[in-house]
Amino acid sequence: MVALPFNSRRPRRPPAMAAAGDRALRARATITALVVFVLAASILSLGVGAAGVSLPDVLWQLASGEALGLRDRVVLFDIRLPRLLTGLLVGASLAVSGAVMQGLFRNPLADPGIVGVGAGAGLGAVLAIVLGAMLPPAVLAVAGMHLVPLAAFLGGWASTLVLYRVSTRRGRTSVATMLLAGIALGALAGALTGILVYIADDQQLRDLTFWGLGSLAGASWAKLAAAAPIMVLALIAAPVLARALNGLALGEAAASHMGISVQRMKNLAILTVAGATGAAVAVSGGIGFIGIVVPHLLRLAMGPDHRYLLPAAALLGAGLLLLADMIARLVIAPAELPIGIVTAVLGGPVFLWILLRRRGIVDM
Amino acid sequence: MLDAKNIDVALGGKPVLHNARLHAKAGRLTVIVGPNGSGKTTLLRAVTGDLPHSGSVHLNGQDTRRIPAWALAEIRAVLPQASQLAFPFTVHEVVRLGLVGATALRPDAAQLPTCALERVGLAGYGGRYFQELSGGEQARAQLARVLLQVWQPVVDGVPRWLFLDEPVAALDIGHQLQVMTLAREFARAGGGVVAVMHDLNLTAMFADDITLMLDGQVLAQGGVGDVLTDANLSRAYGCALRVCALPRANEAFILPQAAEIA
Amino acid sequence: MIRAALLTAMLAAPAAAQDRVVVIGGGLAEIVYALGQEHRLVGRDTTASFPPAVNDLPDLGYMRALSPEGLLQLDPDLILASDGAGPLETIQIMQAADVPFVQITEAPSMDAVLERVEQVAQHLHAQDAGAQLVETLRADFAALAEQTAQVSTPRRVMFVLSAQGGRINAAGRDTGASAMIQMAGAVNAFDDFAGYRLLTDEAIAAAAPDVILMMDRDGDHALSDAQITGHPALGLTPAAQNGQVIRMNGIYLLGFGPRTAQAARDLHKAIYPALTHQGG
Repeated sequence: MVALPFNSRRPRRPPAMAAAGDRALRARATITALVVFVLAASILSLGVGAAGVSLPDVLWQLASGEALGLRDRVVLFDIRLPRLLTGLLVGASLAVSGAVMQGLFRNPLADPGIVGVGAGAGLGAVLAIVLGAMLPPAVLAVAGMHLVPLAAFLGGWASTLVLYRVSTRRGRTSVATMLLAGIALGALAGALTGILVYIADDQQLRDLTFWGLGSLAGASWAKLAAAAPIMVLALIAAPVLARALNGLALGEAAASHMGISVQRMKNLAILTVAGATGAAVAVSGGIGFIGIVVPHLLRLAMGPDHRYLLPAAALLGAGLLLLADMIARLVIAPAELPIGIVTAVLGGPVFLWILLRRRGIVDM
Repeated sequence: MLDAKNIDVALGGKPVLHNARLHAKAGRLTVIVGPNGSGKTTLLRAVTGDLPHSGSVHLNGQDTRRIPAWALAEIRAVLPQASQLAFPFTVHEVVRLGLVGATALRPDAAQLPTCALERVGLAGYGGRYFQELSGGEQARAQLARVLLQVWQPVVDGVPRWLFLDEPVAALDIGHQLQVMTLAREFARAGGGVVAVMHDLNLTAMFADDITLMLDGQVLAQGGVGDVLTDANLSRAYGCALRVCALPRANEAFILPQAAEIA
Repeated sequence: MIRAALLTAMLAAPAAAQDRVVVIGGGLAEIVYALGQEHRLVGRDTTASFPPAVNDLPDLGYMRALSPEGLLQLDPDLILASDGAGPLETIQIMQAADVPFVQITEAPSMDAVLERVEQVAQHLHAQDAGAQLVETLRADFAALAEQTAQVSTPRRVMFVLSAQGGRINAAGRDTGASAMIQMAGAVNAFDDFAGYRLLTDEAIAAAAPDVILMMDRDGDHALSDAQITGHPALGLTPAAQNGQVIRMNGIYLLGFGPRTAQAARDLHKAIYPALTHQGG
């Protein structure tokens, strides 16, 4: 058997050491650090709050066999715990959606709203807030206080569907068309929102503003039960996309030559992002910057390999949102700041810093 | 064996390829040449499935349209003419993208990207950012990725294929010879190579079979001596060309054929 | 631990007076002070601004976006809230924590004011003070009714909420401003729509109000007299041309608390200066 030249070479380095340019070790270390970060943030989030119920006290009480006081129990299990879980899921969903969108559009500036989810969700919320009273009482009774989140979720899906149909011809989706169509849809949604804002009364206007600024304050077990399965499904689906997104970085043709079913992956990506972002926006309103800043920071730290980027984004997004929520809850206690303000105040300067340093953004 | 027949391609409504055909055998280096706009790259793209076309393409006896993308990736790799990269991957990471399918399952898979870089003369480049490389270096790095995808030219008696679109266009003459030698070695090892080329001298040096194209159709097909004739070339390129003729004046000329390949 | 004991003690006492009361809604806050029960307050929302002492209490923020943990931080045993307070999740959490969350109507009418006083007094177990206050207010409203009965031709009053960027936001029917105007014995110049609207210049000119009523504010929501006469639409109104512009403190005019009758009477005097010159 002729020794094939392609197999006969052995590298001079011992196999145990990683090759130069292989950032897998760094990525794995980053993910481990992020896991610790999220755990710490979660424990802190449970133990810190305006109501002053501290975790050590609670654990001590439980350990000594006493039942918790009613108020402590309510604070921990009805306020902080659903809020913690919602914050983790929403932060993870927004960050992963951002990373997926940037990979799909091959553009580090893409954000989850690009598939139209943001515009549609916002429009749905506005419709529910301003025109909700016009629905038949039976519908209102069933939907109850979930009317706005439900409408936001449906609106997000409707607009994603429209965008997808517009940009997909003969089974191929053009991301460039999607980008442009998204702009058009955003303009339309903005116009409709403007009309509704005009006919809204004072109270509705305030509600609209607060919804737009985003908040985890309305977190409840009921909302979690509805939204969590969707977000969890999306987060589970994301790693399937990792290899495809890596390949897509070389262009759709090259990705296809490497054995990736490009159209199927696009469908999965859009589905995942619409679901995750739609659910996140539905329960927490408009929270910005997580989808853009988190993937960026991670690419700078550990490279753009999506097999590590996606899980890391989920972790960092979750942890950061928890931190932002803690700030929102404490800084003007007993009142509360909308969390969208906190993420903007923190995310804006960070984003500017990234742009100024120009690393991580490919010169286009 | 690659067998493509009756290939018609229309781009933007205009017919670009008409009744084109392409035959290539495993173990041989097949080159497609022709003037600009003759449809060389279009033919290659149709055969690799990038463009919608009529007609049929059979690779290793199977209709490529019936083979799913992942299975096709096992038996053929494609080097595009231009490369793009959306994110700051390192050279090692880009090459590693070629670890596809069965190649990825080999026990020495982790070392293969480094091997591939050495083969294209980019040893030690793994840690650099892909965007920082020169055009020629980027082309060779992409070649390393593509080689990695079909690392073994023959698997279980089934030949694997390399489709190269102008693989040496951005390279200096030394690296051109290096890359063409690589392609020839792949063919000698039993694999099939189909390359679109501009350079007639390199084609004459390395090709086993040539397809000459003009205006979307195949003008001539066969061995070097059959295709590279005065008549064919002059007709294809629209100027009087002579094979094996020295320049009239006392001008300097440097032929790759005269180089000593290391 | 101590908190738990205190909570148990408070729950055990039969109908004990709550002394950690949170009040949501400016008008309700005023009522609490009018009943002399302000020493029991531990928190309020942003709309509470009168009397000035209330601003020293912790501020829970916008009343429709109350933070449940913020509320619990104050350890209240009673929350008196205006009808529109929320969100619903916060109310549910208060119920889960066994903190009574009482919602009181915020309708802008004389009867509603009296009802509010009664309800607040009842929940604070200050029925005597409440009954007294109701009597006083009844008398005030009666006196007001006498005064407004003297009006033969009601004047047309336009309430301007804001004039940002030159666009006039005015009150239609079913607003607190409209109710106050009617209480003062006048008529809302804009009766054909409900709520607040941005008006076109023509609509303002067609309505031809005799009086312009505004809240006294600073900044770009306010309008100076010069700006009124200079405004393309407002300047043409009889109100502007006769210099009939009234400015009143916002919470005083629209709080619908214990000072309602007083505010209505002041408004009446300002609208009909000739009348009150006689009536006294």
